[in-house]
Amino acid sequence: MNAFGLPPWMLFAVVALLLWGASGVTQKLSTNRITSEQSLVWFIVAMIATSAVLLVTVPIHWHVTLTVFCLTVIGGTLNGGGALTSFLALESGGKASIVISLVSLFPLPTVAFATLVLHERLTGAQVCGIVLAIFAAILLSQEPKAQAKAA
Amino acid sequence: MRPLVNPEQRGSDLSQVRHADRFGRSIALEGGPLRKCCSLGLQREQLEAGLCHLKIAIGDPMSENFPESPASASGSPRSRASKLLGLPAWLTHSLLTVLLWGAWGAVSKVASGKVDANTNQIFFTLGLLPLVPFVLRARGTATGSRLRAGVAWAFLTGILGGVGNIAFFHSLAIGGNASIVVPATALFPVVTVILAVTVLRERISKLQWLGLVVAFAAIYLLSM
Repeated sequence: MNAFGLPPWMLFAVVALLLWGASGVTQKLSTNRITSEQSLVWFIVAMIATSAVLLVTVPIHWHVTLTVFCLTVIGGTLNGGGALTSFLALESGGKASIVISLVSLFPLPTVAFATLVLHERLTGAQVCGIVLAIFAAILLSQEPKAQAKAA
Repeated sequence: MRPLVNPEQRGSDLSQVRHADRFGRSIALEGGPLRKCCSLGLQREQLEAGLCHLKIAIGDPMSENFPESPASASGSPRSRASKLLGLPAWLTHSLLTVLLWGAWGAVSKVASGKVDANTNQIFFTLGLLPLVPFVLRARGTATGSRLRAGVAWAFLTGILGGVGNIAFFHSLAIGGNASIVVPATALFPVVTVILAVTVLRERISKLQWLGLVVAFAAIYLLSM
């Protein structure tokens, strides 16, 4: 536990949540001006810049197994691929309110894999938290009607 | 990093399809430049025959009769015709997104025990590179200051996303369960919505307010 009363791993998860949340706003400001694809290109450029800064500022442990290397690289492709398919879902006629609500369900496969394959144990409160988290993500994707239509 | 889909922009040119006039009414533009015609699903024959035209509809965007843009309206001829793996293309793409992002969470957890967060982020970036050819095919229409601002915001998004990734990987590496960390971090729209209200002065719906309350309850339960 720390000063915030959270387990250390939860504190870092909250940091990720805050930064990704802020990036949601900057991405919106970006895609209001340029296309999603153009935005993704510059997003990747920034990712490369971030990696370049890491390379020169922190020790990097290159001695990982081939399996771990492949898993981490595939992780990047899965994540970026998900961004692309989400753009395609909207471009191929999906209503934003439905598509975004649907993609908010993405933690479900992770939870299923983690509990069934990795045998992670969950408390009753955490199960309730997962259900509420997914429900909250769907609710948060519901934009006001006028805003969504007039855009 | 899980880029938020901007519901106000449904395609390369579609953000320019609807505009508000100075009386606050929405104007729907159909047709226009060749590229816009393509994005709106007009037939190639129409384009070649020079039948691409501009149609303007003015009305109340809240009205049920207000015209939906053809490419974005579910059930439009284009979306009805578009099928992938036996399902509507948008549904297939949405389900694929769920699978890809869901698999990313699982893969990240498996790898996190054997690689530190910084190294993980560098390898993650390598994994993004194969996508560049796909996204480079799309060409935008923005120029000048609009283009520069869009690029700058996108770059900042990448920085925030990258540092967020490192925190996410570190959370998994120091013992966070994927089944908790992934749903918890999936609540990042909470922050987006709060910033949209406080910084961008956007209105949010009652459902989004309810979502904020439920999200905080979820974070509390997940941290137990």
